[in-house]
Amino acid sequence: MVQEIATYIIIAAAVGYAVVQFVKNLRGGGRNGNCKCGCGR
Amino acid sequence: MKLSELAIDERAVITKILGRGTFRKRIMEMGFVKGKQVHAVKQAPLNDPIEYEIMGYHVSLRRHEAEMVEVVDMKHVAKDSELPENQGLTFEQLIENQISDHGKVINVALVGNPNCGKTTFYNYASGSKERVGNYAGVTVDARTAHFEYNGYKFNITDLPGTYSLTAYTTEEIYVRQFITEQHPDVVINMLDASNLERNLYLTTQLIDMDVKTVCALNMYDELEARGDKLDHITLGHLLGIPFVPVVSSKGKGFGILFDTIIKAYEDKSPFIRHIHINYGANIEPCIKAVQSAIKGDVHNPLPSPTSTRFLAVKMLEKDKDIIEHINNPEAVSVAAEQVKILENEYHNDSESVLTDIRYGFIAGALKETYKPGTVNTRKLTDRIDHIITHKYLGLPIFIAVIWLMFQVTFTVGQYPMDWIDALVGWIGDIVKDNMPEGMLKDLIVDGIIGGVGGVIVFLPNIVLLFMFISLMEDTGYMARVAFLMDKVMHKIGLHGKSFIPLIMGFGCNVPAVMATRTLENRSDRILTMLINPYMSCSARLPLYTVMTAAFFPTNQASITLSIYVLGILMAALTAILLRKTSFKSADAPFVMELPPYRIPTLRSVLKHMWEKAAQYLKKMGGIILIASILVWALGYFPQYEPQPGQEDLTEADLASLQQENSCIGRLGHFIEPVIEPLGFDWKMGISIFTGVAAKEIVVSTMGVLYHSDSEETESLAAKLQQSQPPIDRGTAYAFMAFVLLYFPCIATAVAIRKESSRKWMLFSIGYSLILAWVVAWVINLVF
Repeated sequence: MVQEIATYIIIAAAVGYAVVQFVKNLRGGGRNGNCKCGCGR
Repeated sequence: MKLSELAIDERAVITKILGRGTFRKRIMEMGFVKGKQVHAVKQAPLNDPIEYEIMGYHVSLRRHEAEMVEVVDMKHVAKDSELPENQGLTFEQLIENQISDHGKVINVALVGNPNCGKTTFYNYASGSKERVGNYAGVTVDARTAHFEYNGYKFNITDLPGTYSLTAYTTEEIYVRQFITEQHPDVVINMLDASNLERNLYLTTQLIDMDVKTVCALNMYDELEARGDKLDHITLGHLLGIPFVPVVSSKGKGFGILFDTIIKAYEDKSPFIRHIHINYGANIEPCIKAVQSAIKGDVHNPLPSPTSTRFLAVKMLEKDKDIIEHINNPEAVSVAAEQVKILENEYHNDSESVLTDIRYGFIAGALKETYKPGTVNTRKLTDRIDHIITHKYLGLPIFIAVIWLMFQVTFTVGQYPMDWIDALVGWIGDIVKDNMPEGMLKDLIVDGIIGGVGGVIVFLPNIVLLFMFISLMEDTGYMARVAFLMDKVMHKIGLHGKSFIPLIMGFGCNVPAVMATRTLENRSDRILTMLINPYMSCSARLPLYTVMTAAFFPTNQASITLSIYVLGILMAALTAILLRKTSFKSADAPFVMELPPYRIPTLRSVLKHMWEKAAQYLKKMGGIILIASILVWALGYFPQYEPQPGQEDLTEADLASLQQENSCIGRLGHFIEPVIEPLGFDWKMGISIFTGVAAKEIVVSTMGVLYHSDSEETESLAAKLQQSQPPIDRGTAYAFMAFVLLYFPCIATAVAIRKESSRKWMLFSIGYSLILAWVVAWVINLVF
C-alpha cells in the first residue's frame, strides 16, 4: 500500500514536471549561452 | 536612472555624465555636473524637448541628450533614509552615498576582431561559461555579466567580433549602435597581439568615434614567443589609448587591465587624450566641410553625442546607415559633393582611399613601436596548413581524424563505461534483492534503473567526444575544416560561412540554429537552419553506441562515422533540393579567416569536459528521469490479468503480455503499421515517439521497454541482442539512420521557429519525418 501511494505521487510529480518543461520549451527555446534544451550552452 | 526618465516636477541629483568629447564638455559647462540638483520643469508637445532647472536657470534638453545624464531621484533618497542602516544620516550624507555608489558602476563594452579572445576574457573575468572556439563568429549577440573589482561594480558586455565599424555586416551595425546608443563608460578593444596591424584598424575607428577606450593586447605571450618587441607604452601615448598586455586563456594581466579601466573611467589615465587621425591635406577639408554641415543643423543646438568627425568620415565613406540616421539633407548633399571632389582627386573610391590612409596611420604607429622578431610562428602554421589543407590530402586527413575520434571515444570510453555499467547493475541487484515486492520496486528497477541507468553509462563517451571537439576548435583545426569544405559548400549552393553553424550542430543543434544569425542573407540563413538538424548532435551518440555495441561490435567507429557521413550527405542533398526550388538567390561572398594554430590550455579542455559531464548528469536527473518514469507508468498500467489457460506461462511471457496490453503497448501497436515497412518493432516505434522531447530519451525508453530473461541486471546492448523478435543488422542501421534524420527535438524546432517562422518549423518537422522514413525504408530494403 505504501509502495503504491509513493509510486502514484512520483508519477504525478513526473507528469507535472513534464508539462511545465514542455510549456517552457515551447515558449523559450533559449538564446545562445542560455540554451533551454539542457545542453547548457 | 536616466534624466530623461525623471517625471515632470520631480527633482533628482546628477550622478554621472555619459559620453565623451565636445558634447560632454558642453553639457558640463551648462552646469550638469556630478552632485548638482536638477528639476524637471515641463516638456514640449510630443514629449520632446524637456525643460530642466539647474543652478537657478532653465535649460532645454532633447530627450536623447537627457539620456546621457544619469541621476538618482530625491524620492529614492527619501526612501533610503527610512532604512535602518541609514538612521542618523543627514539628507546630504545620503545623497553623497548615492553619488558615490552610482559613480562606482562602470559600464564596459568589449569589442574586437572575431576570434581575438573576447569571450575567453569575458568568461574568465566574470566567471561566465559562454561558448568559445578558435574560429570567427562564435558570439552572435551581446550578453552582459556583472562583477566587482576594487570596490567598483563592472557591467561588462561581450559584443560580436567585427573587423571594422562600417555598415557592411549586421554585427558591425550592431556593435556601432551599441556604442553610440548605450554609451558605455569605457570600451575595451581586445586586440590579437600576434596580428596587430589588422586588429588596430578597428581601433582607428574607435579613435574617430572619440570613445574612451582601453586596448587589451591579448595573446601577448605569443608575441613574446615570436621574439617580437612592442613598446606598448609609446604606442599608448601615440594613440591616446592605454595598452595593457594580457593572456586571456591564463588570466594574466587582468588586474592591471581592470586598474587601467578604473583610471580611464575616473579620467586619471595619463594616456587618454583625444587624437585625430590625420587623413591628409586633401581629405581633412572635406571632413571639416561635412562636419560643419552636420553641426549647422539648427534643430540640434548642442553638439551631437556621437562624434561629428566620425559621422563626417562615415558619410565620406558613403555609409548608408549613417546617411539615413543623420536625416539632414544639407549635410548629405555636402557629403556627396565632397565625395565627388575626393574621388576625382584620387581616381579611386572614397572608401578605399580612407581605408588606405587608416592602414598608413597604423603602419606609421607600428614602425615607431613594433619590431618583428626572428621566430615566425606563422611559418609553422603555414607548414602545418600545407599538409592539413592540402588539395588532395586535406579531406582524407579530416575523415581519418574523425574516425580516430570515434575509435578513441569507443575503445578508451569502453573501460569507464564498463565500470559505470557494473555499478548500475550492482545497484539494480541490491534493490532487487533487498526491497519487498511491489509497485515502487518495479518502478525503481525497471523504470528508473532501466531507463536512466541505460543512458548514464554513455557519460564517458560523451565527455571524450567533447574533448575532441574542444581540441579541434581550440587548436584552430575546425576553421581549417571549414576552409576545406568551403568549395563543397558553394557547390551545394551554400554560403561558406554556413559551415560554422553546421559544425556547432555536432555539439547541439539549438545554439547552432541561433548561430545562423551571422549570415546576412535570409535565404542562406533559413537554408542553413533547415539542414542543421542533420548534423548529428551529441544527444544521438548514446543510441549509436548502444546499437553498434549490440550489432556491430567489431567496427563501432566505422559504423558511427558512416552515420555522421549519412547526415552530412542528407544535409547536402536537402540544400541542393531547396536551393533549386525555394531559395534561388545567389550566395554572398565571404572571406574565411584561418587563425594560427594554438596549443589549447589544459584548463580550457578540462573545463569543456567538466561542463559537458555536469550538463549530461543534470539531464539524467531531469528530463531523462521523468521520461523513464512516464514510459514505465504507461507500460505498467492497466495491469494485465492472466486469462484462463495462461497459468503455465513463464514470468517473461507474462511481462511481455503485460507490456503488449498496457497503454504504451496499445499506442505502440497503433503506430506499428507506419513503422512496420522499416522493420522496426513497436518498442522501437515508441522510443522514436518519446525521443521527440530529447534524443537521449530514445535510449532510456528502450532501456525501460526491452527486458531480458536473465535474473541479473543486464546492459541495454545485451537486452537488444536477446530481443524477440530478433533485430537484424540492417534494421539496427536503419533505426540509427531514422533517429539521425527524423524530427529535430522540440528545443531545436522551437529555435527554428524563433529564428525563422512557424512555416519553416513545420516544414522542417514534416520534411525530416518523410526523409527519415524513406532513408530507413531504403536501408532496410537493401540490407
